[in-house]
Amino acid sequence: MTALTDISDLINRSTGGNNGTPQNVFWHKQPRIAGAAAPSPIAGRPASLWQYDGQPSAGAAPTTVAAPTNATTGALPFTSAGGGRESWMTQAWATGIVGGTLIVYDRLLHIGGLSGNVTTAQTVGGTITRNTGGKGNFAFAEIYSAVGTTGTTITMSYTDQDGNSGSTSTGVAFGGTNFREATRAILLPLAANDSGIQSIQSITLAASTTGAGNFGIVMGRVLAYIGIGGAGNAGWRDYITGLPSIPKINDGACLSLLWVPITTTVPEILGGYSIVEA
Amino acid sequence: MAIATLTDYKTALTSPREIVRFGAVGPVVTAGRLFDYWQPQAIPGVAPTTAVVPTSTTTGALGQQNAPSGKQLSILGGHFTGTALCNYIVCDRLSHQGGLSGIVTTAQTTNLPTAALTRYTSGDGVMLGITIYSQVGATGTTITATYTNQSGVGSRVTPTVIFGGTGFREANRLLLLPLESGDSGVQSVESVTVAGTTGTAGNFGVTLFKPLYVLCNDQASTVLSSAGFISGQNAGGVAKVENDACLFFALISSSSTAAVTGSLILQEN
Repeated sequence: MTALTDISDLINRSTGGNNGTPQNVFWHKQPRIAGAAAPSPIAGRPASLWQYDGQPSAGAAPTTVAAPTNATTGALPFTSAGGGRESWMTQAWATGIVGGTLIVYDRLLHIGGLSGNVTTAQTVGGTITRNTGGKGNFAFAEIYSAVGTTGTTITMSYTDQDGNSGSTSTGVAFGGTNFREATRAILLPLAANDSGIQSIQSITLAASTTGAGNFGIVMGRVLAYIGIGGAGNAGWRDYITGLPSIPKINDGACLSLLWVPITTTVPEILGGYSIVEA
Repeated sequence: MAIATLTDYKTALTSPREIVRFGAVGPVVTAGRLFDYWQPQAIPGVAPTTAVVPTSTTTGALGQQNAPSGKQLSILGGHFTGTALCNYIVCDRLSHQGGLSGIVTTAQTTNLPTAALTRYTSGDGVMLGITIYSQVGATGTTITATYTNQSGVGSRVTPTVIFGGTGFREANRLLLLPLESGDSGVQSVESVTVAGTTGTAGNFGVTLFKPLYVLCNDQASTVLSSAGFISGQNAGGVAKVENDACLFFALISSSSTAAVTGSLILQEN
């Protein structure tokens, strides 16, 4: 590991010097899942683009718990740093047919096959392999097929960034209109004074949503927020001169996308990012 | 060789290898959707008939010079002004063909397979687009293509996307086709199938291309914008340009117009 010392060093590495190994990646996501129109997102509420068709191809709804990597189908292209170096995102950009905020995150762990009508604790488990200290990690419920129309709440039991097990997240709405639809990503807030997650033991629904559906839990770490003001507006982030400072990408990162839409239009997005090693 | 220091970078900006000028008159586009500016530009390209690999000397290409032996050509930045907030995406047009019909519902192989890639030959990161050269019909349907992926595996099939109908039929539209599960690029396209007739034949073709760099116009109309690695309003880092690259613009505009004029700053290092 070597620090990026200054602008000259960054320019040098970004043009291939000093083992910078620059990666300039472009990707696109189409408003479709498995060749059919994707469900409309809910304005202002996060949606997952994990299963959206595009380039690279769509990710699959997970079954058993797993720690996805850059080799997992659905991950955006990323090659881990070599020679003991680290990877740093210098730029990110996206645009599309509708405004919203795109969130680029490292998908640390996911599981599917959970039910919207089981009211006992449903096991998550698994072990993350990146950002294992947990600080900054977040979690959300990812809905693969709609759960029931009856609103209830969801909580998770987790181990926090200090290794304290048995922490319980604050209950949030789950099931019912706007909290049940496929692709919805329902963020799970942490208990007071917590700032991250090392592991998730289980999730619990307070009551049945009256529809099993299929949902899962994802743990991730945010790398970039890209605001797109409206259709065709450029959402660009320059981490060289802008804030926050240059995000680090862990080796093996499974780069993935969340979308917080302005409207209910299903997004079609073209984007990219630049990475250097140091 | 790399550009070693900020001083070297500034020197390269002020004394570049080449300044490539571009301009487009701004045909009607659809806000938020991707358009191919191969034809509607100052020196327009021609709709291809046979399957060919366009190069920097093909009419319609921006026409930069190759780097000398042992040197690497890169895009350092650009200056531009346009009529709308817009994303001007500099791409290398790797292989294209035309002559496909919007009313044929069997697998079309006219002028296919696409000509073999001569740049980015593995196909990794190469995007598969459908360029509409003259408008197809008003009836919406779907389209798929069979292709060979980045690992040389053939008979891959794209998931369906919409084709024909408003927003998906207009001349210069560039429709991106998603890839089959596990794929990250395209080496060639063998056939294209339109699920149902759009009602009008029109003329469309397959374009294989690689995005390289983006000029982000987020200033008010007619304001001059400057983009660069350390000045923002761009994406793609210090983008490498392969020898013979057929540079052209794809764009996504925020309004129904997207006229633009400007220049790209290229440097060899």
